[in-house]
Amino acid sequence: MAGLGSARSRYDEVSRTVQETVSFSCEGYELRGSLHRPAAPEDGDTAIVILNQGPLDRSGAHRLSVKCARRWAARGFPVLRFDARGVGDSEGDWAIPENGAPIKMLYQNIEEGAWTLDTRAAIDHVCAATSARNVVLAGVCGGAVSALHAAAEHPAVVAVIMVGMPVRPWAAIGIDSIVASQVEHEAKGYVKKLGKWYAWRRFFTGESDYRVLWGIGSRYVRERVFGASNDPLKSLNASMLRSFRAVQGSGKRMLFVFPENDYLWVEFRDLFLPTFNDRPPFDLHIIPGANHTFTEVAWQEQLFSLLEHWLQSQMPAVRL
Amino acid sequence: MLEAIEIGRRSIARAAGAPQDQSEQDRMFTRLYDKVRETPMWLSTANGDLYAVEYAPQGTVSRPPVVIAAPDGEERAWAARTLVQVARALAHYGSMVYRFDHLGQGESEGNYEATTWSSREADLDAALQMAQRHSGQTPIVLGVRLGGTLALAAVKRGTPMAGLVVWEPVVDPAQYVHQLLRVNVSTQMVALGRIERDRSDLIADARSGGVISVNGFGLSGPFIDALLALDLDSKIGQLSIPTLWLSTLSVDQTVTSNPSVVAKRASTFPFWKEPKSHRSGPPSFLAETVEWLASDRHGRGMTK
Repeated sequence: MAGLGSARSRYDEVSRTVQETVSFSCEGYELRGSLHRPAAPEDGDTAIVILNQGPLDRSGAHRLSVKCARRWAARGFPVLRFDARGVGDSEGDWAIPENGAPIKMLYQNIEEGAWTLDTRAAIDHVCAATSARNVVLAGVCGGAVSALHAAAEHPAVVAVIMVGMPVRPWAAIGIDSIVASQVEHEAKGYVKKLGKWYAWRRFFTGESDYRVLWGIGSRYVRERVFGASNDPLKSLNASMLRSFRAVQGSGKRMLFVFPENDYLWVEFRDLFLPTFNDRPPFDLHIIPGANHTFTEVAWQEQLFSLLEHWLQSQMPAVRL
Repeated sequence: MLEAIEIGRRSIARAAGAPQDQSEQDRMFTRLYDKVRETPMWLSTANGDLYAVEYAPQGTVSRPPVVIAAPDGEERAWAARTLVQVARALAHYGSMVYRFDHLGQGESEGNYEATTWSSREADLDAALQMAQRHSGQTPIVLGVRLGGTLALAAVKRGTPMAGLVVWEPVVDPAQYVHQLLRVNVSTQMVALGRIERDRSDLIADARSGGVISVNGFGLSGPFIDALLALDLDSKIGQLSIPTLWLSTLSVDQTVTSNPSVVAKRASTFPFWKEPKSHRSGPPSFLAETVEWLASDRHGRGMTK
């Protein structure tokens, strides 16, 4: 048989769940995924689909997706993690952008919905393979945008969890276009370092990033001294906005989670959040001190706890 | 030029020249290699089940089987897609190929922080035995970064393999550990604004039972100590099987003077690191490897 076969199911002694390797088709390409089932005889009626975090495979950064899936399956949710085209085990290779293009161009594909069809196929698969009728989508970074796009169009999706989601196109993010509050924050940080010997050592030994230093410094002077403004800062991702409005209009629940030490949070806070006049149509939580990929165990535990409580509050029929 | 690269270019060119009425989605993806048969499986070991995938040629098996030993931790995560492409390419050229995730990594069972150097050795041994059973031949190991180091250690232990290909192996494990710990120190700087535990503190912490987070991968004391104790020079000196050694760095004389080793310095993109640019195909190391597998050098212990 050509293409991707399937492995036998594997019972996980620790999480008391069953993990199956599955494959399903999308536009002529076979996609590979891992389906975690609760050990209970029947699956719950709500499944969770976890999307790729950008170019990382379905296990996620330091297996964050695996950890989430095991926990959620142990609490009664069938969970599907899958690789979209061009990533992990799945078929399909990126034809665009061209070889050697900045990675931001690949991220732009994802932000504009390159994986919407893949996610649709994953939703259809999890509904066919389990007793689930409702689906919650969850993703980190690019996976969050992909989740939003798919939530906008698939009727089975009842809620979407977006962790560390970019609201502007990655291609637009650069030293010259970071938000004003971040310029201020960085500039103050550099001023504080003026009295630190190690900062001067880094500067004189070539370890400092002079491009960043110059960019922050020149922006700070332009804006504070000459009062220049930077209109491109308001350039939110248009396709993301369309999907957001569609999800909002459909009444599906949305949860945004941001690590505090993540520039994407700054952009969300300064550019996106103010448009809702303190009455956002979504839930929002911040994990204090955490970075973009939640590398410390304490941050991960806070994230897991937060997501489980949110799922519990949204899905009262499912025992947690 | 190798067919692998030509196939990739032809395929991409076809996609780029797709008719205007074809959807954006259709044009965004292509297929670099013809379909091969891919079979995922669980590989039982004493420590837990490993996720593995077998890639089989559509036609005749014409080249020796290959087991891919992947990089470790975060490097494994960034390299994962490239190694899938490499596995498909090698199968396209006639090899049975086996890729697996170590315990605590990727899709495999277990937790990373509980794994050790010994558990990695056991994982590789299990994958080699499985490849031997499935293919009926003694496999060649393609080891990448720490996977290359692991394969070198396996040769010294006498693990049967028909040949060895190493891509950018970690030749200075102490420096490798140093770089991993540096990631933790940098994270402290960003999160706390200061360094609370320097590298020697971190090693001491690990030795007293702590776990050191390196971008979310928890290093244990036994793993760190095993890496620091690796005597790679003697392993390389004792290499007696046909070996292809590919590196972006200049290769040490210990390697080049070994008659079993074909060593080449070549440039390639560091696919084991977070990418700054998009790479649509496999690294240039693949072309060298395909050529080496096609020759009979690996089959008769040839010299350079």
